[in-house]
Amino acid sequence: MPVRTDIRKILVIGSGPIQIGQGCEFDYSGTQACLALKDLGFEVSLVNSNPATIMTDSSTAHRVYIEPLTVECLAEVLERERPDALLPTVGGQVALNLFLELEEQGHLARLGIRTLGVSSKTVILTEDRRAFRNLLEELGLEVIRGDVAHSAESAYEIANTLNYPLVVRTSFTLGGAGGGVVANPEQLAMLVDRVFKQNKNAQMVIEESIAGWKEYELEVMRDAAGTFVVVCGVENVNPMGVHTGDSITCAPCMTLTDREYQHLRNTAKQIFEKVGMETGGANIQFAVHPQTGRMIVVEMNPRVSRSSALVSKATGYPIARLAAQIAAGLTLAELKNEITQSTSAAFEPSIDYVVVKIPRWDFAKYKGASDELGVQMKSVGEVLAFGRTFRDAFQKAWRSLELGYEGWPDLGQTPEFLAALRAADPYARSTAEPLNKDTILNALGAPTPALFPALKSAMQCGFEIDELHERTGISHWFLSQLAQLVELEQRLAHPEFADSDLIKAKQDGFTQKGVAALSGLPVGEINLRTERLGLKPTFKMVDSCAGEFEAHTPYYYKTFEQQDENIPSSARKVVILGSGPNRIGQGVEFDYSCVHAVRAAQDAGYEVILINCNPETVSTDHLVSDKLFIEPLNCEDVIDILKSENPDGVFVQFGGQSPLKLAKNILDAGFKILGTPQEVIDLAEDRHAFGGFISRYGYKVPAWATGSGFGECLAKAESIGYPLLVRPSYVLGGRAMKIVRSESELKSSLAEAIDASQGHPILLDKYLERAIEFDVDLVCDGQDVYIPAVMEHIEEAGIHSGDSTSIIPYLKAPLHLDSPIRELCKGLALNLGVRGLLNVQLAYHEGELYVLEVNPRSSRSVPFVSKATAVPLAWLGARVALGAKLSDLLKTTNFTATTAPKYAVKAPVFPFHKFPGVSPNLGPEMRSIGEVMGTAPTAGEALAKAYIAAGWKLVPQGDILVLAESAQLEQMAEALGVMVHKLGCRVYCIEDCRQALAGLKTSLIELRQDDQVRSFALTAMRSGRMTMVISAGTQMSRKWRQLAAEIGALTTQCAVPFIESEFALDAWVMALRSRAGKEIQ
Amino acid sequence: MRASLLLGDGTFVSGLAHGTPSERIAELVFNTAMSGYEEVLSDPSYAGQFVLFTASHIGNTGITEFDLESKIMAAEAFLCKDFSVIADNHRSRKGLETFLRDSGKCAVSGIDTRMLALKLRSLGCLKAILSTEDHDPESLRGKLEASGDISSKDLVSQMRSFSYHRPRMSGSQTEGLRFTSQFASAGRAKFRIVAIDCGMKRGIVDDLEACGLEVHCVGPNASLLEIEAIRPDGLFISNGPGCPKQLAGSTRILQLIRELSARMPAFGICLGHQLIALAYGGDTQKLSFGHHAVNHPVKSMVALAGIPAGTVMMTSQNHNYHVVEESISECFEVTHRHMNDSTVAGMMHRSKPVFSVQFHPECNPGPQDAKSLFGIFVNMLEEKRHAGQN
Repeated sequence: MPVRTDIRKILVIGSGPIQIGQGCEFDYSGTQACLALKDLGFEVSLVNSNPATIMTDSSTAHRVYIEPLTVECLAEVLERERPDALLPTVGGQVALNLFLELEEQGHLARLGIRTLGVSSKTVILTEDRRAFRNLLEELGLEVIRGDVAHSAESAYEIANTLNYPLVVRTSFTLGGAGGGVVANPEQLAMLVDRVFKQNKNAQMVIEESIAGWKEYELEVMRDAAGTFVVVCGVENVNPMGVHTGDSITCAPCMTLTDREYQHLRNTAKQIFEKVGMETGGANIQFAVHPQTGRMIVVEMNPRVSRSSALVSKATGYPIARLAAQIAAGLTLAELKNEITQSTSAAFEPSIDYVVVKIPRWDFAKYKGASDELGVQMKSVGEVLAFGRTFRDAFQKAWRSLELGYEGWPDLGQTPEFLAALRAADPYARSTAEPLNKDTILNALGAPTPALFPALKSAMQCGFEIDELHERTGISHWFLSQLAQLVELEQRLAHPEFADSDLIKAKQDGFTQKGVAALSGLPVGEINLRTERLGLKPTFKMVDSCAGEFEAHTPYYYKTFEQQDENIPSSARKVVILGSGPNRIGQGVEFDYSCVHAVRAAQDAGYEVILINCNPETVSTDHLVSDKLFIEPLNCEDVIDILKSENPDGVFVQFGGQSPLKLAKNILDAGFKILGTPQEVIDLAEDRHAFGGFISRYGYKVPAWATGSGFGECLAKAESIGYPLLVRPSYVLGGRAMKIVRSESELKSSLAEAIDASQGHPILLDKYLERAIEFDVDLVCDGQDVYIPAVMEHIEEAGIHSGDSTSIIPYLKAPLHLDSPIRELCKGLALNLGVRGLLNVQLAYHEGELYVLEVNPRSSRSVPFVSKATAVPLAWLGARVALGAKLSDLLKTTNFTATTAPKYAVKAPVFPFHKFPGVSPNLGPEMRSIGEVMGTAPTAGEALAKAYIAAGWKLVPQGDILVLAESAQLEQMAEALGVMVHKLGCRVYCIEDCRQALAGLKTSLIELRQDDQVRSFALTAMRSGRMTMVISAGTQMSRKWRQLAAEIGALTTQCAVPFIESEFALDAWVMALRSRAGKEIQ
Repeated sequence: MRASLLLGDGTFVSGLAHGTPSERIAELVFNTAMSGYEEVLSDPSYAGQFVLFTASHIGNTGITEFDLESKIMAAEAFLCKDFSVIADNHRSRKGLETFLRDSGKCAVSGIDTRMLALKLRSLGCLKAILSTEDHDPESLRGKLEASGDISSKDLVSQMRSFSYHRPRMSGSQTEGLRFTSQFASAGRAKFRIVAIDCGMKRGIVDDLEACGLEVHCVGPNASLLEIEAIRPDGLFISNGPGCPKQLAGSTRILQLIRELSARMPAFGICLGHQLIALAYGGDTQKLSFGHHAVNHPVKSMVALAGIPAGTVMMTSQNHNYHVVEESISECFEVTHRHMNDSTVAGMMHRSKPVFSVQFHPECNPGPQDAKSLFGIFVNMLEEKRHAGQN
């Protein structure tokens, strides 16, 4: 079938900000889809609120709308664009939900817009659990026993017919929010209460528990001609009970016979057709009883997903690209397998390796959150590793996590364990003592991030596979693979290990360093032994067909075998190191920069080789770079690739902290670091050297000191004076960073900082209170400096830049500061000797500009600045690092002026709602996971759009709850007055605030008891009339502080803003006023 | 235990041996299926061959016995990257190691299987010697060279006696799986057919029976009289190992096919397809490294049994020979085509009810997309009966 001619213009819906359960995989799939449709000659427009995406680059679509993903905004865009068709299947659940709303509200019918790839009938059939269940029963398939409750009464009725434990879920949610395993009737009652009180119309699914069953996923595709393929099957190593996103998974399926696998395939095919899905990719999950083989269909996602991104990378089969092409009318049979370029895309990939995915969690950022894993996803990122065997891939995957592991760790090596130790003894660093059995059994009891490390410890203690299977439900096959690793480690654990064990170790994914640590030999000795045995790293192709056909656009992974398939070219080439797994503080923004660096180096005539292990990313699309290695960003793995490729240089400045950490090893191995020299990177990180630099050139910095031990830190702190900012060196995202106001506060935060610092000194800075912070990203070629824009933070200095709302052009600071800021940044860049990108953070405090931080690398704000100013900063940075002159680049390219004609706001997105009970206070340690952008002619409207895009509810005329100390309210009184008098808000406050807010007169309502506050807060939030909660001041009484934290945690569940400073309050007032004005119009 | 393998091109590898110590010479082929090693190893078409599995892990689900395609391990030996030390599946009856020992055969693991697969891809299938006793490349080379042409072996007559009837499945074997075919007939068989068993896979018999056919197996040396005595309604020619021309030369099977297919509907799979082509004057040729996979796309060139032309199916394939398109008699129409190399994947007589496919509609292992092709044979039998009654 040819490409459809009845449509000309297609609108693609993106997925918005990164959230838990929705990572950057939709940047990958969205970008693929847009480019594929453009290539087919369609006019493509797209809507997405996330600026840190390749998808929202102007080169991805004909028209890009960076707008909030709300049905109102979309309707406006549709009205303006008048596309012929809508593609809602590449933007995750967000896009599907929006599509449903657009259709329900009649926008699509009114504008005559067709939908590609899916119909509302299909979405409803797969989302509505009862409808889906009926469909499965019609097909004669086994279903989970249980039912859907629409009220508390029916919930109890259903529960009475089933055996505990039960699984409870609520419909239409992302990553399974609001559900869980319920062990007894008391727990059920609590959950029922919460769900139906929050939302009377809620649907609650109550089912028998299939926890412990084997879990499989099939990624499938079908075209309009009916060609159906399974791209790959994935087996979860964690059995049912842990969300797939939180499970370790592997491909291909390991413990199914062909007959069983084909049964899953047939079922998937039947369901696909039965839900009325015509074309596209989908994901179907199955549970299989380990003893009886009883198979149950768990769910179907009629769209590309996190799993489809993973499977695309795992097999070389580009699901999103093909999904877009077949949605446009082509058939799989008409398309070629882009890897072989000769065989058909109508085939099922075969792989001759194993891939393992391990999630990455960041519980340390959300103190108080439970790290127990269940049906609600909690991980923030993931890694993918390739190996010739499961063992090989498993070891590599652990290494890829960048948690300091060389391979699969035991319990004693994990941060969870160290945290537990510290709870008992705050000064503990680690322990050499063997773990006791109770600790291990405890960790095996419930799935947490420590489960697999605990399994290793258990095996080391002699637990048998059968018992471990009983305790964890993990299949015998996986346990036996893991046991092989433990046995091998035991054989390697003395210096006279056999050659055959070394060979096995290398084939099972151990590093030289890992073997050295086990055997007690120096790494040099292990190197000699591997060399003598002729063991060399070999690179194998990912070719989608297990070697059956010649591959042309391949990518590689490393293993230790006979044949090396990597043929390095003699071209001029650079290696770009990616950013590894997404985590808080290092996410899609860095992948964005890496992709731009790839393009820049290609534009400069280089062959580009990219190394990364994050399967969600655009950078690991093999079409992006000339050569792709999906490998850990670990010293040995990277150096092995460099030795094979021998590049002209290596880029470490685009992937965040992960590649920077490797810079020294890369230099030591004799390779060149491109751009800013290593000495400058070290200078920026080394406080003493940087201090020397600062005083040499006469810049101002807040008073500072460094200290190594506990005592030294306390003494230094005394000499600087409180408040202080405490932080470890060489960390990103402000890990373990804190503002302390007294010696006792310093004492309680030092242990964590010392631990995070890993031997580097602790930094102590005078904290500048109520300072305005600026962020500048610039390019410097040694002669010229180019500054596209100066960002101002809405929040005061001291709030992590990743968690601050930023605005371009700046708002609060005096206008005359513009040129001093630019001069200061320019001077810094030139004097440091930066070649490429530099991020500068400044504070304006009592009439003076202070330098807070310089980062000679791509920063988190680079994509936002690029989108706000239409200047491709990362591209410029890479070109300059490769030797181009800024003056030439700026001459030949056509950039717009550095000041945007309108306001652009970047707002952070937090995952607090996934961690009930965690209070959303902001501080120097970053806790946001994603970001959105709003642009408008006025600052107020740009702020409003950004806040809406970030998911906040804007209630201009509502209730405000103030839980603050009166000293803090002096600065807030005016803004509160505006809200009361201009917007008609009512202010509720606690007794302490009454005096300070007396000016509000009749609109002020005092709440006397904490119970009164609690019940008011609950009612106002649930009814949707709460405008905001203001909580400020650290000197409040303990009772009110606790209440503020409790209510803060509640706001995260209801999308109510939690305001902690007058800076944030002012911005919110502007946004609310803008919205109020709009509504009046 | 160590095992060493020497290929015809001089490539020498050694790895870990499993099963029964032995030394064998065979042709090395690679199979890219990621599941179904039990079916592959017991598929009589693999007689005389070493099977190299490209999938990393083999043996994970042990041997269920129910999934065997014949009584024995038909392949001479197999090669894989990793040999599973345990069997983990609820239907598993024994481990792969035990199966190897029971079959008197061996396997080798821990070798760079991808390197060997790439070699076969570029050089074509190679003769190889595998030994658990002799690890001297020179000595192995001598034995390999002395072994002569292994393709001249009469593999079919060895194989056909191994066909077997599957035991009934117990409860735990069937739970969660549905084996009932869409053609399943209740009660008495509708038609009686003769199957020329050249090493027929059990799955084919299952599917024929599920279509309501009573299957009588005869060997490729059966006489016309012998077959006529069964009074069949139709003829089936099975899959099997080796070169079709070799078999045609050593038996009178082509004449048998010609005579019987003139009188009754005939259906052939794989080797059976090649034999039908030869019987009608066509020619077969050896492919460089064959098709041994479960992911090969086949396109329907004409509408058949309700399946529209242009339909693409994922098929299970296992053949080293193919029917040369130009050689096919004018009276045949190409009904199916392999999408990757455009070879003939199926053909049908323009005027007689004679139909054959190169791939395996019974799958085992592989996707079950093509199962409905058995229905074409049933339709032919029905039409023939209907015409006879009129």
